[in-house]
Amino acid sequence: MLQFDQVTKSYPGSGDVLRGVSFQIERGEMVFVSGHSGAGKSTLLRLTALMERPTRGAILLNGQNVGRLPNRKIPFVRRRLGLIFQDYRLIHDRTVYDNVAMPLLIAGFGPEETDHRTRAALNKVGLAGFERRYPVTLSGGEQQRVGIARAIVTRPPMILADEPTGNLDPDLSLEIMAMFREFNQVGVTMLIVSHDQALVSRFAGRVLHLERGRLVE
Amino acid sequence: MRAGKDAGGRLRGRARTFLRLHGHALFSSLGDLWRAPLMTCMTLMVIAVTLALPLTFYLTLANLQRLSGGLEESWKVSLYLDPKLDEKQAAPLLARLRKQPAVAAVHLIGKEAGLMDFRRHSGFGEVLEALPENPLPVVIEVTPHPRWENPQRLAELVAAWEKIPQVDFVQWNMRWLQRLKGWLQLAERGVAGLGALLSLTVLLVVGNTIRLELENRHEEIEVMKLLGATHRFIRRPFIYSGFWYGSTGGLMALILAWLLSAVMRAPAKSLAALYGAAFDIEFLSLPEVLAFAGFSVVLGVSGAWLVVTRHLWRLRI
Ligand SMILES: Nc1ncnc2c1ncn2[C@@H]1O[C@H](COP(=O)(O)OP(=O)(O)OP(=O)(O)O)[C@@H](O)[C@H]1O
Ligand SMILES: [Mg+2]
Repeated sequence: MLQFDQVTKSYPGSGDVLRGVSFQIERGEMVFVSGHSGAGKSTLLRLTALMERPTRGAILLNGQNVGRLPNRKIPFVRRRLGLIFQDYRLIHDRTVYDNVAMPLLIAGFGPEETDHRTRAALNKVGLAGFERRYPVTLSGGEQQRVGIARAIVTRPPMILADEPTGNLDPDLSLEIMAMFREFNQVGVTMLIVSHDQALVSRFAGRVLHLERGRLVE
Repeated sequence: MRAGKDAGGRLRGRARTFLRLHGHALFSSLGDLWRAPLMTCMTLMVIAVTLALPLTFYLTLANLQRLSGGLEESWKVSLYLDPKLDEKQAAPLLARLRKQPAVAAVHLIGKEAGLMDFRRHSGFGEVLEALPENPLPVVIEVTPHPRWENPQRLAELVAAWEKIPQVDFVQWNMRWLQRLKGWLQLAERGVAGLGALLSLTVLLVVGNTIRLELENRHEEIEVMKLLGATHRFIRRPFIYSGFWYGSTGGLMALILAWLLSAVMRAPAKSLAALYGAAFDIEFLSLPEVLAFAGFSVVLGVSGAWLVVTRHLWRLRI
């Protein structure tokens, strides 16, 4: 599904943020990425989501080397990924419904299909009845669930989450993680960044541990 | 057969998607403009006035050109004699002029005939009635030989005639007509240059408005990119905003220019009547109106396109 092969990423001024990172994630796996602050966890995810290009090495998504993909092809790769962010990244002047429906609109789904899928996704995260609300009127946990609904609405084969519970209390975090496990049980490949060791250890899943840009299993 | 059916269905599906995406962009752009009515109105007014300015100049010029085209192109020269001279005293001069090789024909307009002419055309007939005697001079109208129908050669002739002691002054229609045409040509250049500058202004105004909108929605655009939106998808509503600015601004400019020409119509008519001419201000023809509207749309759309494309190009995610 996803393979990193000797990936190095350096930023001007920060040196090598990732150094020769190699790993492979199979279809249907649930994988956590842990490590200290500044270890390069977000960078790893950003590379996978094609928000950054690797300095050296290859990144293969479904066997396709996406590290050198021309810009105009990136949107079509992203449509097959569900992205979840620590700061939710919702569009504030749109309703919950419009936020969740956005990926479908982008991908050109028809109105019936869009409506059906949007309501199903909101149901799944327990936000049925929140359609007309605006993100600012929601609690942090509710906002993150809107973000999750948006990530699953296109039924992507893989979901990437960067510290999805970073701003939530322990109970809520557990709830969200349980939700992720549910997705994983129906076949979605999950790649989750979290520095919360205690939380991660409660779930059966491989852990990729990063230390100053190097992978230590 | 089956394959053909499938292809037809796919095509219909694509057409539906295309219409849906454009419909979405059309309405979301209208919604965005509607959400900030004051700013939208102000931008539209700026565009309208900026476009109405060269349009009005163009109209004025076009009407003046039409007017000058209607004036008789005549090479005739009028020699106004000293008012103290009567028809009889003018006869030797008339004979002398007739003999000149440059002269094709001469025609003498006596004091009485001049008075009648004046009454007919000027509208000041009553003023002359009040005077004790006819103040008009004898006029000799000279038609030059075709070989002298050239502004420079004629000017030399006129200079010589002006030196004749009995001649008070020489009036030369062709000269001021040529001058008028020269001025109009100059004005045409000016209007074209001004039109280009003001068009650029409209491009910049639309571009700047869209740029502010882009900055306001920077986060949203980033999120859309992360959700797999193509540049085309993100650009589309902004292009439609540019379309609305261009078309509505252009329409408002047309209305402004039309109102101005309507206000000037009556005074221009009575002014022309004073000169014995029938003249009516003409507004743009239908093809001209359409061309202007099309040009406004092109300005709005390209202003938006330039700014959005540059913005997306610099977005590094
Ligand atoms: N755009 C950038 N330009 C320069 N340096 C960067 C950039 N992005 C990240 N870095 C650097 O790369 C290193 C790793 O950053 P990264 O965001 O991947 O860390 P992280 O493991 O996600 O940390 P955290 O747990 O705090 O989120 C940091 O030292 C950071 O300063
Ligand atoms: Mg991070």
